[in-house]
Amino acid sequence: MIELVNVEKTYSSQKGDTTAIENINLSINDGDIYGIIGLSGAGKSTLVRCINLLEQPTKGSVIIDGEDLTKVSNKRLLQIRQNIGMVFQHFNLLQQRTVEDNVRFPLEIAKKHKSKEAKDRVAELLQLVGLSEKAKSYPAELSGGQKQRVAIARALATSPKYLLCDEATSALDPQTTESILELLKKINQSLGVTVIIITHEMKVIEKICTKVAVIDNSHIVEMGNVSDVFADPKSEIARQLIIPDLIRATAEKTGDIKLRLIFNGEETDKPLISALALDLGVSVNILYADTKHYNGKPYGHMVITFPDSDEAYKKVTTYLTNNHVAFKKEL
Amino acid sequence: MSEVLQQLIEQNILVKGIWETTYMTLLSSLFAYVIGLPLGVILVVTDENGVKPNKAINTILGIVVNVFRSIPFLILMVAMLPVAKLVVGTSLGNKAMIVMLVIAAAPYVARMVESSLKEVDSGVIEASKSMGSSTMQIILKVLLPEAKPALIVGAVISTVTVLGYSAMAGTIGAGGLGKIAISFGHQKYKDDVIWVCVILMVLIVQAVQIVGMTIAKKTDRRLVGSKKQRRQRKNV
Repeated sequence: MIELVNVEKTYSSQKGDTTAIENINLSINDGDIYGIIGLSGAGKSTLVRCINLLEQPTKGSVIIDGEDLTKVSNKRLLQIRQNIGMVFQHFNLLQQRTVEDNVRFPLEIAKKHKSKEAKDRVAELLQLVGLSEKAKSYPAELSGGQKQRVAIARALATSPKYLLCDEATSALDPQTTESILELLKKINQSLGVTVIIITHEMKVIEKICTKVAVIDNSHIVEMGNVSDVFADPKSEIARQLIIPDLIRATAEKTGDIKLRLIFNGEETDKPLISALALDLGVSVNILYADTKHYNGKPYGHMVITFPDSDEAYKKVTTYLTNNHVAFKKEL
Repeated sequence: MSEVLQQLIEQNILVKGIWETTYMTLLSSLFAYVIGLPLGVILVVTDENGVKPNKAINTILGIVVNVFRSIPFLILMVAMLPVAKLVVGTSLGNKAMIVMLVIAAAPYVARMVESSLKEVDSGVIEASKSMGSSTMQIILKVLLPEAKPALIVGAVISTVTVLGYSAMAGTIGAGGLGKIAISFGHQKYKDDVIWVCVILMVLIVQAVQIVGMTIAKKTDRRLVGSKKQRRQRKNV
């Protein structure tokens, strides 16, 4: 378990102090895929670097499995880091080493690279990320997605309990992003690695995370289960990140009722909108819709509007409740 | 061809000159790296943004390097005569010259190494830190191997610079092509001797350049390489 307690990081320069993060309290349970989302400059990269002490927090404690990293010796810190893999936006592979030598690198650092197991481990990891045939290639010969796969294999070489991903998919195209996220999910499920994902993309959170913390202006403004935050984002920044267009869609005051429907993967067996219109006789209009199907289940948001009347409101909400569609009235 | 040049060739003086220039240059460059490479590494590691910042060491070392680099070689040579005597027991001849060249080249090499190592992507260093690398591991496993192509190019430039300095060997009674050019060519007004020496020096420079650059290119894995190389690698 990773616990951040009152963590603060301030950078001092001649121009004065800059606070990157402040008053950060966060618990990450084993087995979680924990997302940390925020706009650029919010402090999320500093936050993730405080977890493995690449950045020394100015204040507060970083407690991993009961050990406060800010208090351990340098030697112990280096050992603990071997238990925390890290993946970066720009891959950060060693350019002068082959793919397999990159994956072997953390084992060298841990002085465990000479055994037979090390060799097997490298082969096994390349298999896991689907790059066995690229073992002898150099990073310059790989595509962005392949480089990130190598980086993930490398991060897992020492069988770490935790994996930190700093904008791991931000330099990749949407399709490659999907496959990397699939891989991270597989790693979480099959190896039981706790994954911490830093991102500015809600899609990433929505796709694989179980928990999320929203960070804005150096502070955590909201956190909880992804489904809860997703359904009912309380902070302005979370609303902006989750449903950017929704804000525009609901800005206009029309006098009509506006409902935001939230699809959390609950299956709806009927075509919802036509059912509302045909079965209930309520003339429904769609203001905004952003829904996707993952594994055949719908996720996303839709804002519908219909003329304001108690009767219609009641009919619609009853119908939605019966069909397990979460909704929220928007003003 | 002047008589003097003919004599130089017949008496194998020219061949000896080529040999002396070559071994003085290579040996001096080698020793300059033995001293300069660690200095360059220390400059990078103790830098403000380095792996282990240390302002005091960085500043002092930086000043020492700069002082030695700003002294003109001829003056440095005179000033370092006692040092040569201390190290090799004489302040004259080829051995003493090598000491002078090493003293002059080591700070130059240190800066060369520094600039090569600074080109290593800070992200890669951060990644290796995240795996629990110690400072020594970062130096030996990341900084030096990743900067290898740049280091080789730097070594070529340094060697050529040392070769240029070695031409002043005659001043303290050491040999080589520079000495031949001055004492047989310049002082006896034989232009052809000067020209032959210059051409031979140019050829040595070219040889160092070609060998060095080929090695740098061949070992640089950032370059995807020729189609043939790529095919070979795929077939492994």
